[in-house]
Amino acid sequence: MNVIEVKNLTKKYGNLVALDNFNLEVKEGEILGLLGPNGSGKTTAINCMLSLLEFNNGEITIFGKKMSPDAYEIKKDIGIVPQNIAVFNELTVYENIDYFCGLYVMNKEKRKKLVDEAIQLVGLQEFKNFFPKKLSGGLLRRLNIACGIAHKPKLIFLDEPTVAVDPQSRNNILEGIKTLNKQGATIIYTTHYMEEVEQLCNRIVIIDKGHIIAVGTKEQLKKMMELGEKITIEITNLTKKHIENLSQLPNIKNIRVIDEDTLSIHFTNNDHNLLNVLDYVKDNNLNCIRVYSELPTLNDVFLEITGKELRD
Amino acid sequence: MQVYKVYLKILKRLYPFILMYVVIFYGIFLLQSMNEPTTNNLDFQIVKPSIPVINHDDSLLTNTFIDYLKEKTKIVDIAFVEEKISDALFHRQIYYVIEIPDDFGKSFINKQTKQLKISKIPASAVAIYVESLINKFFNTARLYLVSGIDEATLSESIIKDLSKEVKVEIKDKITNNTINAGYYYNFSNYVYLCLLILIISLITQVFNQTELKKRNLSSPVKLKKINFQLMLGHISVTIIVWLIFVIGSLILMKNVMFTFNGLLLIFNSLIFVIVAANIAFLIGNLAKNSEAQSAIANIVSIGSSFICGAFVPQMFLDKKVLLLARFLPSYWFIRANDVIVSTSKLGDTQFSIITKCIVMQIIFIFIIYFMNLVITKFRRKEVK
Repeated sequence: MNVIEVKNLTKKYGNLVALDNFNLEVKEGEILGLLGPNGSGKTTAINCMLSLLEFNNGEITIFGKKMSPDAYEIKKDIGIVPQNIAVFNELTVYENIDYFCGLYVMNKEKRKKLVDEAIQLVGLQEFKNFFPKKLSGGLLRRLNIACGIAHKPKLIFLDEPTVAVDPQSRNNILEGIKTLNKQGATIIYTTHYMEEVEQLCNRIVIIDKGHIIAVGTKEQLKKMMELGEKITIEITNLTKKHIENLSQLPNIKNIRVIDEDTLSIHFTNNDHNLLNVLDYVKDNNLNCIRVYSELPTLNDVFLEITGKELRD
Repeated sequence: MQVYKVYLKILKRLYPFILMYVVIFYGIFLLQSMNEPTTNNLDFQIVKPSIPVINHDDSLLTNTFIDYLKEKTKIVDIAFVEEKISDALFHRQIYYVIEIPDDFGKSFINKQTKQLKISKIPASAVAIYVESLINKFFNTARLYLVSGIDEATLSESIIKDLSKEVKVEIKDKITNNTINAGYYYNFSNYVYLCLLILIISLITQVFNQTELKKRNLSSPVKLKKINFQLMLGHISVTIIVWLIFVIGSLILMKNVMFTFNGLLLIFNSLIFVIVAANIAFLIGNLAKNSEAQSAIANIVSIGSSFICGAFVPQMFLDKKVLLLARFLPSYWFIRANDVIVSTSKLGDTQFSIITKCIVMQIIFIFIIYFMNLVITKFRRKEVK
């Protein structure tokens, strides 16, 4: 069952087309990663889905009902964690979570239990009486998440929740998201950190300039791009002839010259490529300084599709 | 009522600031009241100034004149040395000296132009008073002279005429408490603006933060409900702040505040706090951050208090300043206060001025409310 269906969504800011015939389906119980560089349209897409932005064309249904600014029944089951910190500096950690939870849950006792659970989930037990100004960036991010998920929504929008967060807080946040998903929440997660998407998401949607350019699981995407192993090799006596000869090796997709001594060799699969490269080095008596092999990342996929790095 | 509860929680965090303003207000007010003279400045008492009279004439008319002066002043002897008289005038030992020349009475009856020789401190109260006595006496004498009566009848008639007295009863007495009440409510202009701008504009700004607004808008609570709760918060704050100072005035000046004038002062202040709350809401909507909000708050509260007469009474302000002040609600609030405390028995003239001032404040409420509506709509579009 689809929790969200977006059909032909178009959003323009003056002459700038932020989303162009954007189509999306989000399945129940999945963690969907919206991956794209800054300004690609991720946040705009989320804001349109939440009816926080008026759009020019298209239709959005959530839980099978048409989403609109006054679709309060739908909003009851949605949680939002915005990109920027959205908390009251005048309230403590506990009071902040209690306020946002209280917008959804009227029962005081039930709310208290939910707020305590949210504090536990993001690991803010020791800080619940702190004011936001006293919290570090990572702890603030955790508070931002707790405010959005305390009411146990069925659908959660997380818009770049780990920007500028220390590794400890990031791990804490990612673990929390996994727990929420295990508890049954469907999650839409936007980021430009590929590692997070790879670690978390069941399905990935790659967006660039308001278009969806690829959808699938990480394996599907890599397969789609015929991306296999990547070997980086540094040779001091490298010539053009050697590069030509190396490009004749089996499974070669392409070779990129990184600098005059370093090559990045991309293969279409992962079968004995390193052995073949090393054999060539040995047979031709090349002076190899360094060689290492990597499996393709989503950044490689993104690079392959768009020709640019994700964090450009 | 989540929004309203949070409103009150934020308000609670502002208690120290509110308390500080209240203490400053009452501190300044009590200092001011202690400096006020304790006597009622409208009480009337006849004072007999000391007047040296040097008489070179011995006519019946001049003697009658001196007898008349004796009733109204204290005639003192002084040596007829011009230098000594000048010294006494210079040192303000005397203010007025009359020298009656020889044959002055005869000359006056014959309508000749012999004049009294006068030495005085110009524009002094004593000089003005004595001059009025002299004019009164000789003007009356001149009137009788037209009928051609003799000197004895003339003197008798003048004394008879001038001894008639009119009983004056002061019915309208402005007490120190009334003056203090006027000062209290005029100065409250500053504290109302300061406090309401501090609280309402700050809380408005908090709820106007784009990301918080987005969170509120994506919740199942209707926007109307959120706005209603915020409005309820603003109304609560306005009433609390208003009551603090009204109750204070009732305690400190109960004999004035429980009169009709006192109730009018309270009513006028109620209208003004509504204007002030609207101004505060407008600033909260306009200011981009708390620094800007603080700067605007100071300019509005101190600026308008200065030019509208909260600190310096309107009567001492330049006409051009007052002309400019008419475009501010504080001017009308303070003007109404001044008229209310100017008399204990308000007449039609006073009522029409007070009504005009209150109507002007109500017009300001509508104008600022309309501006707020436009800005709120604009802001809502900005979020989208």
